[in-house]
Amino acid sequence: MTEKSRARNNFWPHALLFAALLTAGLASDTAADIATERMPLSFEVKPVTRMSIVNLATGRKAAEIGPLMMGTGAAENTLQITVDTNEGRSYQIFLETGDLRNPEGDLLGGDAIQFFVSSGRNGGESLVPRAVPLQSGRRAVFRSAPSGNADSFTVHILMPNTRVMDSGTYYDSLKFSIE
Amino acid sequence: MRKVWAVPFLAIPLFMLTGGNASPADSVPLQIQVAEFLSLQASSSSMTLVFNNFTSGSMTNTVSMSYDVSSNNARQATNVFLANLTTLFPQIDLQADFASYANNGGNARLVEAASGFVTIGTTNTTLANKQTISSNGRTLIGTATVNYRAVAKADLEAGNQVGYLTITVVYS
Repeated sequence: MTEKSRARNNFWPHALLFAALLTAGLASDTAADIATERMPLSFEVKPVTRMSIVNLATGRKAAEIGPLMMGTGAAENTLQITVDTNEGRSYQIFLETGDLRNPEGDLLGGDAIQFFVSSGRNGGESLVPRAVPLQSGRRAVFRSAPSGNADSFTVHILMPNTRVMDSGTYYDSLKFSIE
Repeated sequence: MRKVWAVPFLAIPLFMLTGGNASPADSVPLQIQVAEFLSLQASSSSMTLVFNNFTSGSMTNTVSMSYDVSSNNARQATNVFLANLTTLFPQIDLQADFASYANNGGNARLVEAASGFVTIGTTNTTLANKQTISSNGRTLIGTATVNYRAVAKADLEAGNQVGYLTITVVYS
């Protein structure tokens, strides 16, 4: 080993030691005051299923039809239902309705109001592909693909407007649930 | 002596993002508005009654007139089908008889207020009232038939007399 190479080998350890001491001195009062604690870190991703409903015509979460005039033809509202889920299991959407009544208690029944459901964009199946009367009660209207992935479909509320109905405003709610 | 802790604070907001509440059910209000409609249409725009005799007590022929009536908000039960003359005819009484009502799908019907012919004056005379058939009886769809005739109260001069008969249906 030459004098030159010996000198180079001695330089780097001393230079590193000097740099470490300088850094410690700047960062803290003394190197002995630094304490470090290592903590375990974990993430939990919870199973989540969310449903959102929007009226495609109004952008609101409501179905509103009318005022219906005799002889002016059918009227329709379309609700888009979007299901977001990470649970990975198949599900069904149920629709529950009550009675359509005006504030005086009069019922708008029979086949005055009908509905049908589209297929899903991600493989879900409509269980009401053709228009049927919207009757009070609960029924399954949509079945997801077997993989249970997120999906989106539409529910079409129809008023054929072919028979005479008492004038007034009738109210009900459409309750959608996932099982 | 100051202590420095190296704790992974960044983990806290990441934890918060992974949570979430499931929304397995949601409700949408449903509202249906049905507009009110009322309609009264006579089968003819004019009517002529003929006296074949001019003496007091003479009577004209009887003319039947039909009226298509429809409403989805017929709330009034009495004094529903009314008739009046704009002006009285000199020495002539116009008489009307609510003959029949054919229901065409409503849940109410018109029934005559009094049997037989009644004299029509310049104020409203009730020819028929409403009778509920089922439910709330607010839907009136049908055809009413009214028979008209006139009676001479004195000897009449030859000639034509023209006036206006008004039929009114009161729905509510």
